[in-house]
Amino acid sequence: MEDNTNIESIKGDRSMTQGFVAQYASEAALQINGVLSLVPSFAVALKEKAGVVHEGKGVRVVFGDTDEGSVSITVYPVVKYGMIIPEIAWMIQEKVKKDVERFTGLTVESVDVYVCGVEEVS
Amino acid sequence: MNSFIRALMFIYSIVIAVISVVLLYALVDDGIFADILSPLSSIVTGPISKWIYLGVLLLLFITSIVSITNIITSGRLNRTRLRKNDIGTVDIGPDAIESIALNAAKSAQVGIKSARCHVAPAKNQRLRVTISCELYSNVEIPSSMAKVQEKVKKDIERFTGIAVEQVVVRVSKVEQAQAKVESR
Repeated sequence: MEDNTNIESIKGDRSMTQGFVAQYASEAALQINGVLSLVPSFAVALKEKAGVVHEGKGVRVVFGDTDEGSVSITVYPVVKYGMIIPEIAWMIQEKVKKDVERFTGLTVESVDVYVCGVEEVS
Repeated sequence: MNSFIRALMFIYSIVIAVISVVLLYALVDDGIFADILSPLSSIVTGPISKWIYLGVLLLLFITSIVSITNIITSGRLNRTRLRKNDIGTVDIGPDAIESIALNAAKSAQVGIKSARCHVAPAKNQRLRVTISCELYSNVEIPSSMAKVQEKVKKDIERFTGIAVEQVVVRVSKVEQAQAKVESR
């Protein structure tokens, strides 16, 4: 994780890695009823094949370059067939934003949702 | 761009790419010009004209590769942006829409054995869905395919909120009915 964010406070500085934020985001997204899984990107899938553990797959986290402590998140979910996609996407956005802001203290600038697929559950 | 012009451009750019590769090979081994194109061999062996030749050919090659990839990807829907609210954007990928269409077609209960789907963008933010399917033998095609169209259109509009302009159903194959004789 080369991309860390640093928040300077009086007692020192603390830093969070991308994977740490991504883990919270993916757990929050998976709690929504109707989200089956998250699709990892191609590079992450290769990494998983090689046996390296990657936290929070299916979520891309980009730290804002201008403002310290702001972050924008992209989630790639697979949705259950029969659910109305816009409603689920808005629920994901709200839940991810709320959870990440509460657990990490960062300000979430934007949560983008890119629905990758729809699967039928037998 | 209709499909005929697209196919023509595809073939044309492949030909250009192949020609430029062959002519690039001539830089390495100028023997192949000896009998066919003798004036070119003097260009290749010249000190300055050699680099101009290389540049022109690389330009040709790169543009043909770019146009090939462009042609292949242009027919397909890239992504659909639903709405941008204050939190962020919501996009739906083409795979999601395709699998909604396939699930809808299969759940219409009209005897579709297997199906493939293609989603393309149409005018003013609408979709055009093409389903090519393989049927079982005991299906009345006109009435049941009308049912499939209706169901696919309704499902996509309900689940994604994107308007569907038209649903094209192509029956590519009907499974052959065979008398089954079982012996013990």
